[in-house]
Amino acid sequence: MFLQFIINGLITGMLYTLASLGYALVYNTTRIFHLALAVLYVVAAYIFWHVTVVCGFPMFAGIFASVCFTALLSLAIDRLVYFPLFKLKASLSVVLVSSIGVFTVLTNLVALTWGNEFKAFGSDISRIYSSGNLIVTGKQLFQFIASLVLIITFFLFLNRSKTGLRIKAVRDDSELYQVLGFSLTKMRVTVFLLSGAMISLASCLTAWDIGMDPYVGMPILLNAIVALIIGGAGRFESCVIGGITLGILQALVVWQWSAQWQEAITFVVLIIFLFLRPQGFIGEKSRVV
Amino acid sequence: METILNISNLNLSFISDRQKEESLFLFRDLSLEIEREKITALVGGNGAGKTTLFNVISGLQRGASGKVNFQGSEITRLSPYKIARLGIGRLFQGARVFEELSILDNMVIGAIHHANEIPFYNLLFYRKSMAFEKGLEEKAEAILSELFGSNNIFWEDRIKPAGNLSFGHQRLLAMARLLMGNYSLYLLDEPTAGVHVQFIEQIASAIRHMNSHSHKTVLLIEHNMHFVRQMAEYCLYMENGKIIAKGHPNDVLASDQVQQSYMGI
Repeated sequence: MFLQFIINGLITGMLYTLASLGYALVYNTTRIFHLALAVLYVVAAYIFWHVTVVCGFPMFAGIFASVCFTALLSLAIDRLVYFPLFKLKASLSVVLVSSIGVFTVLTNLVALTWGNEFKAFGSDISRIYSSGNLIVTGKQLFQFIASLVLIITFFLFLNRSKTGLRIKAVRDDSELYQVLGFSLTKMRVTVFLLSGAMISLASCLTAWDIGMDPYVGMPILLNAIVALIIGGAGRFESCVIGGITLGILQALVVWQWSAQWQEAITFVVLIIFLFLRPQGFIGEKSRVV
Repeated sequence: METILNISNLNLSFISDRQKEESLFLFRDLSLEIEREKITALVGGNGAGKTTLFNVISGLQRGASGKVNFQGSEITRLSPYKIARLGIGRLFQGARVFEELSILDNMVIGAIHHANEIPFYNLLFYRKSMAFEKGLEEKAEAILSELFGSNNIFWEDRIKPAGNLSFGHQRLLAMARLLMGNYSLYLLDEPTAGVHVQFIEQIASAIRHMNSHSHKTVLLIEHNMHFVRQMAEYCLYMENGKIIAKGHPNDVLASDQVQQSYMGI
């Protein structure tokens, strides 16, 4: 049973990692506490559901449509809300409040458009693969392989491509990046598009298995943020370490106690880290003078 | 005398947190001219406004009135990246390198390449982009060899993160990176500050390279007066947001006014 829960936790953790990478792309480069990402997660799931279930297109067409729409919506949120505030030199607290505003308005729009009720991707029973006492469903296997491929692709992009190197450069020192002749505005376009795409992929992979309602975004985003913090805010690798740790911990809590403590453990872990190791697993200690 | 940078009637004030009504004036009608292809030193006490002046020139400090003209174009309200692209390079105080990027990537990123900003440009124009990158790497190798010799630590460790270098080496790397950008004017903020004496001569040779080899203009802030006398052909003394003395470094530093206000003699 222990190994079964570890496997379940690992798959959940990899999905958290994808969501956390979507959040980290914006946070690490702009310092925006991008809570509106929660509603992008929801919108992505509904677009995927609409294209595949309502319109009857194949699954990959649904994922493609969802990724494109969510990436563009992510960019639109920056262009219409965050960027004008950035130009006005608004504080990050003001941007946070505006992000909550975007989240609230768009969540209600999703509920008005598609309804409040739970939606699922068909009722077919997923194929099961078993070995001894271990059971993995076909959907879980797909989630694992797809997440693994996406995470590896993301880090190859980050470390090998020029765009990836520039994302790391902005994260290191945005002032220096500008005086070397690079536009922060253009970099924002890239990070918001990529962030939207990453959260959309996390959302499609999760919703395909467990369905969705208009309010599933915020709990997932909070897990993604906690994953980033316990991994070590500021670095992209921390999303993987934090995400998988959190996924496995939550699974072990379900195994030992019950599923209702799953969310509670997230915040217990967050508090422990904030008190004992605020820099996370791989973050560096920083001092405010 | 041909000027490359012309600042006229620059005013900048801040509202004091303690006394809301009163403004703290950082610059009051500050005007100065920087001669092309010369090394000019900007000296003055702490808080005189030297670094803020560099921030105004590079577009990082907003809210100043007056005009900043660079090579005949007004740059007062331009974004920092546009100012850099016009030809103003900046060395910050302290070690400012991209710590997680490799030493070679730190050099290559110093070469302004607009097309590279298009997402996935390297994938879309793979061959062209690879040839260009190779050219930049060769340029980086040439600059590092010329400044620090053919067996320099930077080229040998080029794939290692720049954050692994010592403070002095990071400073030298930041200087070398400036040469990748083909700037016309270099703003160097305390290039020798906090650097071990063994690196100072290498910094001096990098500045000479900028000036005599590339025929570029250098404006440097410096507290090391020996270094100022050794390097600068012209000197500006700044106090309370104004240039109060200018001329040859020996004359400016020997003047009674500067001796009294800066050195307390």
